[in-house]
Amino acid sequence: MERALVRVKAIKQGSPLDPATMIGAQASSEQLEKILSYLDIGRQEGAKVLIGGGRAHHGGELEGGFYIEPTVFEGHNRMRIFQEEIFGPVLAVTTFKTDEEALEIANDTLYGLGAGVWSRDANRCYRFGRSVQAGRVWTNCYHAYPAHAAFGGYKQSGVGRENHKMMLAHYQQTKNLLVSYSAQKLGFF
Amino acid sequence: MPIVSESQIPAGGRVSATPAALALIEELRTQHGPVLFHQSGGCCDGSSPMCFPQGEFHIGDDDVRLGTIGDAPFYISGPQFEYCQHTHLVIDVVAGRGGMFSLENGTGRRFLTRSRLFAAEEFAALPPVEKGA
Repeated sequence: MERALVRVKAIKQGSPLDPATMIGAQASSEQLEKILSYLDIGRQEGAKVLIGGGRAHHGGELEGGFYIEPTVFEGHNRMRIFQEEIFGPVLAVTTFKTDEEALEIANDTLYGLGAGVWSRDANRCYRFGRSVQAGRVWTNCYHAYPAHAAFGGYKQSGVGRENHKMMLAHYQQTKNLLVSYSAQKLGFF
Repeated sequence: MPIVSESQIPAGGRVSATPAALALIEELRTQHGPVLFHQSGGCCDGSSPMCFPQGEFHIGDDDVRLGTIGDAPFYISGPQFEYCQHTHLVIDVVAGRGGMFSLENGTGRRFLTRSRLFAAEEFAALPPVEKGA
């Protein structure tokens, strides 16, 4: 975790016009307020702030921008910051000891749109890909979005899947014309 | 950090509203008639408390009624309630464009859900919730 936090600390936040910028501001004041309300509830629930945890101020022309510090919480999967969608640069991490425990944590959620598995053990990658209840399981990659990729979702996720080409099949009748090419009569009658 | 001050939180109950929220509810009621709230579950509605005219939004059998704010009933989905019932919701108002189809859209203000952890004895004293409309 220490090594991951070094990476988080190196994230360059700032103007979207600066090519060196890795993360910009939130799109609206209400989004900023919502994220701050989750940072508040995370602290109340007893999660530990490993890095960040507040609004970021960059001064100059960026002052007043809706910047949130890249934040990592350590806590328990039953906390609201783990269960709800914050949609900000806020990550909630927890620990596990066995595969079974990791899977239980992964599936203890109302949602199931996307998940990620990282492992050098191909067998484990496939077992988790099968067992995690999510429409997409990125394996040793994350957030790859090929436009033609099938789009699914488990539990309360996946609304909008009707927009995928696969779904047109649901609106069609299956019809199979079984046609003889023979010029001769079949001879049944 | 938006810290919710104790004075903003009426004692008891699972949901309450700040004076600013109560004023906005009254304003919306004058314009639209009786209203209700449904706490959205993230994604498109941004975890906002959504305000709708009563009768327009159909309450599901599995929705949980947390209480009322400014005479408006406040609901949340049953499964979501299971995950967040250890917190009291405080409905506040912030500047913003409003949440999608929520009635305050266009007023320049937006309802926002803040939360506070229940104390153990307070949680134990809460009455059971009702399901459905």
